[in-house]
Amino acid sequence: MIPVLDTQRLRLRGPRPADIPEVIAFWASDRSRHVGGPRDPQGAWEDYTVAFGSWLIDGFGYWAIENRDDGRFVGSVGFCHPPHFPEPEMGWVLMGHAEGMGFATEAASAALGWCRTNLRLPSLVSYIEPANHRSIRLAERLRARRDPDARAADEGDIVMRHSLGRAI
Amino acid sequence: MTPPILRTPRLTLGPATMAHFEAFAVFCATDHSRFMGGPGDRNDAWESAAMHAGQWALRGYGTFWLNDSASSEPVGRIGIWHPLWLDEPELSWVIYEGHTRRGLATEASATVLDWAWHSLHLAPLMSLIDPANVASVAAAQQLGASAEGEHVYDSGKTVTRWRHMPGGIA
Repeated sequence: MIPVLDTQRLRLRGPRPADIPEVIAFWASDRSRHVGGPRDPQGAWEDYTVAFGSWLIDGFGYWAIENRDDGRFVGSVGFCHPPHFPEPEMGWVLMGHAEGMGFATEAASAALGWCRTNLRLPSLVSYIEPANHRSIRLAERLRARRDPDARAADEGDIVMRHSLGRAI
Repeated sequence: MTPPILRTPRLTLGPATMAHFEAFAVFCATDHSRFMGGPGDRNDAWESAAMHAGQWALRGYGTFWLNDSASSEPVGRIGIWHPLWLDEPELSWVIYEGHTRRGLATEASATVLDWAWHSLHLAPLMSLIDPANVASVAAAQQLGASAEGEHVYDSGKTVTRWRHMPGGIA
């Protein structure tokens, strides 16, 4: 159901119970402030399962990202389209211990490549808080462009529009 | 893991589809959803459906969406619900208004209990039921479950823990 994607250093895969403690710690930390956090453990579990559940309902969803070197969970990346989102969205979350190594770019590029090849989405955006500079830079590295005319899921968010043309 | 398809004399148990989601959203908007935390809006319904689907990916078991096999109409959801905040898996069900009092919850439960025991090798399952939920209490009794004590949710809400028979129903 959830395809496995390997990149040079990472594996994108389905969720495992062992990921949950890392996910709970992320949502309890200050790192979650740009994505609607903090959340309690129940909220963390809900968010994590919802991200994977859309594979069954919509045929796309999130992947857990694992470091192929040591098997450690480093974050998640993928696509979702809940009813209150104007368009399908690409999102990502990276654990603090995995930052600064280009992991988010590597994982997001693989996910975006899979999307371009396998999905026929009408459009794809990322909704990002203006203060979340790292995520805005990542969207720019993925060649997304800011769309000032698009409606955001949450008022005040920046809408970064991805190109769905074939990967070069 | 992708959910298997299970069949009872009158029902087909399978994965979520958009038709199921639409029917579930209608159910969630009504007061009939009060025993599962409703009423809720369309987004709440989507999150619940996605969470239940995601639990399959995380744990390898979960809940099924019910179709009336004769009409293909969505009639509810049943299966094994096992969120972070429950110390053991729960046999949980909901039957939509208009399809209650037909014995569908009991019929589907028997099949799910059998699947949980013989295919998943889980210990005897429990169901957490609000004592005011007369229909579900009756279904639990019909399945041969016994009231084992109380369960208190973090919210303070207290429900009865019903223990199902080993091996499902005889």
